[in-house]
Amino acid sequence: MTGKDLFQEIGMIDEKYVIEAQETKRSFIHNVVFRRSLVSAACLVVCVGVYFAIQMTGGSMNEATQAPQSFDQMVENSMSAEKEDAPMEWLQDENVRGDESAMPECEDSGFNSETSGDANVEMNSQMPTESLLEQIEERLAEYPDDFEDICQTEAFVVSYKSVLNGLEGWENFVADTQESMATSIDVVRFTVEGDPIITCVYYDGERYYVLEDNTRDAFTGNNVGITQRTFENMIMWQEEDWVEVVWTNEEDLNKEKLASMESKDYFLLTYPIGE
Amino acid sequence: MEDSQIIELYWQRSESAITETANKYGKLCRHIAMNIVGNFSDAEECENDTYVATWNAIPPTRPSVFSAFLSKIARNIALNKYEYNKAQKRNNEFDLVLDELEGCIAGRSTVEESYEQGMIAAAIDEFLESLSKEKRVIFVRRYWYSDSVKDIAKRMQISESKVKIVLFRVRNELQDFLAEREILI
Repeated sequence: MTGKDLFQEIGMIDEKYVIEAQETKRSFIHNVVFRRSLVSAACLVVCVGVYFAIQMTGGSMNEATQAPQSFDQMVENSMSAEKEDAPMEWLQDENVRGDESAMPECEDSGFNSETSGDANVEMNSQMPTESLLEQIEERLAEYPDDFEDICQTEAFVVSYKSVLNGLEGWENFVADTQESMATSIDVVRFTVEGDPIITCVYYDGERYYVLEDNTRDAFTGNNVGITQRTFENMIMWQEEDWVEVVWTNEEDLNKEKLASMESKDYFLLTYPIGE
Repeated sequence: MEDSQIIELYWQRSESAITETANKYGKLCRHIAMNIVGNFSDAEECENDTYVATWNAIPPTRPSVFSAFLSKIARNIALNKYEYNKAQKRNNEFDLVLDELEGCIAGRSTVEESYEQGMIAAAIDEFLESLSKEKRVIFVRRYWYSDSVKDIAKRMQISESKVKIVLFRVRNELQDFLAEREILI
């Protein structure tokens, strides 16, 4: 028996396992937002529990250093808005919130991914929150500047000569958008001088949010920073050895029309195909 | 269009059956074929061959789960294409899949009298049922769909290292499972 024989035998397994594997997919948004929500919720529960535990025992955080309070003072303190907000202030402290080791470990509650393709579509059609967009901007800013380090990431890295990295991830991105599933891809292109321009294209199931970081471009002039644009459509066409992808609000787009459009009204990605 | 309606079009020998199949499952068939053959043109060819094979199979077949039926056909056609191309071109990623499975049975041989086609598949079914859902999905994505480790990691939102570790352990468990049932010795 060879590996190929075993591969063929595996091909005859019960269909239910094949379908299960096809329909099971954890979404980017669900996973990131869900996990962070779990962590935040767990912290909130702990903080509230600690607060009420302290209240029930009649103590306070500073009891050892303060003079004993009268009963009226204690009631007043426990009723004050400031005291009630203390757990939330702790939670809002970035140093604590950002340090996940300080929080109770929340294991992933199990295999919570969607189990049907329909659920994926229904669940993932969500506009990105401002918080998520900020996270994307932070992630773009943290990208390395070095070419070799960039090619070690999961970004789709292209030059005018070839696809340098991440073709599979790009193909998965395209496939997901065709199924109206929320997804995102980081694209890295290089200026003539070799400076990387890093762009995140985030798709929420309906629209594309294009965040472009040109901070590494030495010749970008006064427009330095991360720009964000929103587009309704992603249009792809292939000519000989090239694929062109245009994000735009235009529905019926051709090359002539594209040539007449202002650059702010579209985002263009071109990459070569073939070996 | 619902799968039952598409299947009905095949039974009526309506050519729109192919169109509807391509619209709904073309991407899936191409994905499966691409994982095995490794290039777009061969994958498209496998996709078209899948439609031809499906047209010839329905009727008399009336598949209960159309997507799985198509996937299986696409997989087998792609595997044949891979074999045909093997002399000229290697698909490194799919070769890795076969190498991993080769390692799973390395040093063992089948007990010939029990090696009937499909019998090992039934044992693998039993083995898969014993796995957790996550392990099972990772295993099937790797060895049925021939997804790359990277794709599985992205799909499951876990690290590539974890995917590799899970696959390594599951392969060892499969080897022991088949040995216990005296399918491998």
